[in-house]
Amino acid sequence: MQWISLSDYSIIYGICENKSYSDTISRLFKKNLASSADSVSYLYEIKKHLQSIFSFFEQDKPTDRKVAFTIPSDKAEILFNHVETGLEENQVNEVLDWRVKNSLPDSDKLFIQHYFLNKKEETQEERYLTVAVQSELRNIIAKTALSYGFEPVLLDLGILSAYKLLSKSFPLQAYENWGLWKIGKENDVQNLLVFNDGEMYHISFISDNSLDITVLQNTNPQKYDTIFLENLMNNNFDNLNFEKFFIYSTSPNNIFVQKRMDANAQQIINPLPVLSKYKVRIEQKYLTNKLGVSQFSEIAGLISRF
Amino acid sequence: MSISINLFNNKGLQTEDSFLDIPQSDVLIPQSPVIKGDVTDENKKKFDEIKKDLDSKILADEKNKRKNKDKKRLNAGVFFSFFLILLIGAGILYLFNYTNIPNKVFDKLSQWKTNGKFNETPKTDRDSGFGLPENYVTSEIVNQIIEKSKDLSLISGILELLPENVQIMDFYIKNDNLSLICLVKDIISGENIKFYIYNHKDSFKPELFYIEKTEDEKNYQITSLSNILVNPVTDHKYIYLEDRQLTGYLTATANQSGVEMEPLTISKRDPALIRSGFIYLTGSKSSIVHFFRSLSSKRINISYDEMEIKSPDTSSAKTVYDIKIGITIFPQK
Repeated sequence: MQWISLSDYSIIYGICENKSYSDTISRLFKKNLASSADSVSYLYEIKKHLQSIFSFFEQDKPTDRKVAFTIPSDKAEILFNHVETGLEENQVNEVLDWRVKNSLPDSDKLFIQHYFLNKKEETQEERYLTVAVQSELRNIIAKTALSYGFEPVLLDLGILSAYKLLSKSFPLQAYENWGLWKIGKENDVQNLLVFNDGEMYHISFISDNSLDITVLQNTNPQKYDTIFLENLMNNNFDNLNFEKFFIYSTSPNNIFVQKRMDANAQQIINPLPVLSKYKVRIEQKYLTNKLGVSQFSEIAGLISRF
Repeated sequence: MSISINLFNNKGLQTEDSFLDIPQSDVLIPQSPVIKGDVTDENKKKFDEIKKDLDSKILADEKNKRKNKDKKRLNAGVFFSFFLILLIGAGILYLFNYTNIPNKVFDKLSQWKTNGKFNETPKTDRDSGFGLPENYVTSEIVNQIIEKSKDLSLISGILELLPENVQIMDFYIKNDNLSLICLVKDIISGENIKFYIYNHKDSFKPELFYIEKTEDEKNYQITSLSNILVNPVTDHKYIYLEDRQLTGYLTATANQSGVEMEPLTISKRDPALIRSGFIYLTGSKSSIVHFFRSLSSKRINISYDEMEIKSPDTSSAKTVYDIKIGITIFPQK
């Protein structure tokens, strides 16, 4: 099995060296990207790096050709929608598709999926997660893998993979509310997944050094308003009223990120227990601090799905 | 709640019958026996040959793609120029056929225009966007982004002074020119706006301002024409947002302000180009003020070049307004 986790500024990838997980020793590596954010150069760079990673996998004589991926959360839309109960599957699909297509530009360039989450009896509503990703990014990943003879089997979103890791490490269902924050650099997208009152919400925003906040998406703006986001950025976690709060970052060397991580060191995700359960090794240089380790949260979540 | 997504599955609603739906590869890079099996000189030579052949194919393919892209850009440029001419033509026609404006005001507007007041506006960096290479963001453009954000704040100031039930016949901002024609019930609102424009000497150069009773003597008509002045920009920071994020930001801001926004329309798809777009909104005066104030506090990769605010139906007493904002979207630096 091979894993590749793409983030804004780096790619973490790993290879499993034996067929059976009982005697597996897997290794993870990291490549830094030269540019990010601008989708045009990002796609070009991703393609180039994937080619060299697949060549590397080849040289390592893989025992199988399956490969799983995560992509950065800010390359996709994460939406939570309600639909009234009793609709046929195709009607649900139509309603949810329509909502995305009427709210996003160039929706024909998006690959859209909907996942049933739960049913709320009291309001006669069904809740769905909608994920919309650039078709081009999905195609580049799949086609590059195929062109090197690898079999793409799974494509997840970074923050949802980190959530997967948490659900393997903590009894999340036992908490009344919890939050998961992927801390980005200044002027980069901050991603937040929040669970409250039995429902999940997604918030993405940008903050600069003066902590001015630009909201890009907020599926519950009434509860998680600008004051909430300001408290978050100012490290006033006590005011957020979460039973559990988790943070991680794929940019651990950035000062803006470090400030927030250092102030909330006890909340940093530790993916090592899960990685060690799956006998996955990380280079020693990344193990020196909690912050450096947390960048492996997304790939650890991905690995834990197999 | 358990969430396990797989974006390699088929699109649409995921059910028990969902299946892997992988896009097929265009070029299959041959699996070399050299890598999988033992390394022999013969195999290695064969592998090197295949790799060389493949590399040259990829290179040729890239070159072709680049050529096609350049051609497309040229075509897009010609089309854009044609579109611009059409747009200007339509704009002129629109001005001359604007029947809602009483003749007296219309005469003044056209007189102002004929006198070349619009043309006399000092040429500034803010107009230079379209003359630049399509994928190049200069500091002048950044100035334009910042200056136009400030315009929104100035416009919010005027809107705030207007009463909630004002009948806006024409509130139009383009090329640093601002025109406002509206009907109000009392003279105080008119005086307040006059005071605001004449006291923001750094921001406005008033060309014409008068308040007069309408023929039916029920309302006062405010007519104001001014130039918006350019001030030196000291802070050059701005945030780049992709189209999807841009829409997210505008929609979130609109929701927060209580204005209804239609999906953002963008002229071209290639984010490497300087592109135009339109934002269409409906909202109450206070929600529009809130929306403009929120937008003006952010520096993102768009400039608000043209703005039009109107009462949707001049005969009704509705207090919602239609807004159209013409924007320019800039690529990343």
